[in-house]
Amino acid sequence: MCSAPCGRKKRPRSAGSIFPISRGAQAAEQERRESREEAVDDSRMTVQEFNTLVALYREQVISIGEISADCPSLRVQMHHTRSKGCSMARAAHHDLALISGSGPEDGEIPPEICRLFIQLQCCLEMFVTEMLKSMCLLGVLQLHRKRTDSEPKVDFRMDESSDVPILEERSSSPTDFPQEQWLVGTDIENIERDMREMRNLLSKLRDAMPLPLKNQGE
Amino acid sequence: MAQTNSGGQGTNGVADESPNMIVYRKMEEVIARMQEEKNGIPIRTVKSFLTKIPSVFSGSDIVQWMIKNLDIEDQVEALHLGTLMAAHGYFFPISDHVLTLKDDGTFYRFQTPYFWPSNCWEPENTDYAVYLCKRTMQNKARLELADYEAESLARLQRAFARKWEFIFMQAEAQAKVDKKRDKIERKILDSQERAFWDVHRPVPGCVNTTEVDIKKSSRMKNPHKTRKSVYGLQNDIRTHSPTHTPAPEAKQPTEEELQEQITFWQLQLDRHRLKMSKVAESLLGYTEQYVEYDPFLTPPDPSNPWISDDTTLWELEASKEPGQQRVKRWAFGIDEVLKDPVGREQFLKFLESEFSSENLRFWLAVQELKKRPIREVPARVQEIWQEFLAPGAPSAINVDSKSYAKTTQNVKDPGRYAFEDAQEHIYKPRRRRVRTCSEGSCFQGKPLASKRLTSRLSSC
Repeated sequence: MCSAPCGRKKRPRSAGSIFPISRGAQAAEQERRESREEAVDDSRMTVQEFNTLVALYREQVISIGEISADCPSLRVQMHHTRSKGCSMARAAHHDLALISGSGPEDGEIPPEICRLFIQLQCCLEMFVTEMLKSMCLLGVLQLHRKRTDSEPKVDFRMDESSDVPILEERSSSPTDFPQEQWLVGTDIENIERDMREMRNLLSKLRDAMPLPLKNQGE
Repeated sequence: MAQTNSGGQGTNGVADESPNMIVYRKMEEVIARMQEEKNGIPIRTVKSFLTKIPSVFSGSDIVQWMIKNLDIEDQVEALHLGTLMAAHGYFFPISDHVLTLKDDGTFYRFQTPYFWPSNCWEPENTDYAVYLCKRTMQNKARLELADYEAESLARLQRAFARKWEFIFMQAEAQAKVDKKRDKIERKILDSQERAFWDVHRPVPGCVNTTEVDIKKSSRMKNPHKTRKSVYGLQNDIRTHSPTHTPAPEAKQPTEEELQEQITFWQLQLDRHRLKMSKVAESLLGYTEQYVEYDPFLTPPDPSNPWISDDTTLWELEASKEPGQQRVKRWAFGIDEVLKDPVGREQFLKFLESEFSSENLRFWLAVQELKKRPIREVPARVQEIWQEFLAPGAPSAINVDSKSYAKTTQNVKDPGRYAFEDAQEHIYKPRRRRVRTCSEGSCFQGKPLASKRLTSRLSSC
């Protein structure tokens, strides 16, 4: 369930229960419709936020490997964005599933919901692709690092008075490199995990999709 | 969105070895060297009028760097290599859509790795649509869509009617994120993104290194559901390009066409097929037989003139005296004899000596007679008789009396095999004589060769 990050209020699903039971069926129907509209609105907002997060993630992925970008902090940012995105996606999927599940009695699916489905699906597809690209880029970066930094930047200076070689002070000592590589490796694994989850979500979404949409392919 | 093919790196870091990837890696190695801080191309920010142009270098910088650091001697080669790299999008001119390298003060910029061809799978039309849409939202004069871009956008809008809401939404989001960026960074990124699309959706008339365009991309996703809206209009601009061939109109096949296809495929199924083992056998046999004649596999004796600059071999070949190996080759078949000019000469001589020309002509005529349709046979028999066997014939051949008598009888009631006896008479003794003769001639030591020759002749 989506919580704080999206900042929207959680509306109780069972809106009908706060009214006296003696209320007429017509009024109950009204409540149901209103609550459904609210749910649709919420869904729309969630999907939009998810969409924005995907755009943000894409922007961050583009920055990988750029000479000026600082890698560790960027990766942290990406992780953050990605987590948010995943939870958004989960929430949106959950909401949509509920809405379409508690479908209208006459069997007709409002176009609004169909559109939301399509939007969510496209967003998810793009998200998965961007994650794939980020994995690829990080992998390349790792390889580059391995190749160019294979010669340790160590300066052996023989001090006349001592026999021990003195390591020149550097901002990133040789011991940082393997750690950095390990971090990147972990990141890649994380991305892979997230990607798998999103892919599952995507297939679940496709299954939950209203029939007319499914038959149109894509 | 983009098709995730097997390009790019796997997570275990093993590089994909497809030919394209190998080329990309080579280019990227050069790029990495170009981007080195110490020995690379100097990148600077240029002040121009009221604005700053960040992170650029000039075309002549590139050329000079190449000449100095790569194994390149002249400017032309540097320009060629540079243009190839630009065509793939590794660096690009900042104020031009045409991706070539010029040896002058034109400014260039490096492409960010995200947009490298090795890291970015072939982008789909959806991505292109998002990009074009985003461009229309950023109201800057320099980002206005060109004609071909506007057309593409309109076309995509028709094709992606259902998805358009998402495309619009995503474009908006991307534009918003873009605005938050630092102004200089934004400039750089915008130019890099545009350069990326210049590679994958090039200006009509430009070299297309990716070999994919908007139509092909539409086809790839839905091979059977080609939308009319995308193909209905023949894009005039695109057909003018030398590298683009207009996509054929996709239409449903008619019943007749399908029937034709069915018959065609059935015929293909009924075609005579050879067993692979037999094919392999014959190929092996051929290779074994000819291996000593291939100068790549068996160095010629005395030496290969192309390598050793010693022309003895050619002189030997030109002389009239063929070597043993060469003669051996003639035994492979009559074609080998006829291919070799010396072989031809020898064969003719041989024929002339053993089969004087009348004999040979008679023999050939009789062979041919056997293949004639029956209604022509009587006339032909008469002709042959007149030419070769009748008293006072112009090309009289020598046959023994017995055969002669038999043949005379046969001619009275002519059939295909009227001259069978006579033919045999001429042929058989020749064969024996050939063998003995061959010992003394250039066929020395290879009686088999002559036997094969004559047997070949009989099958003509």
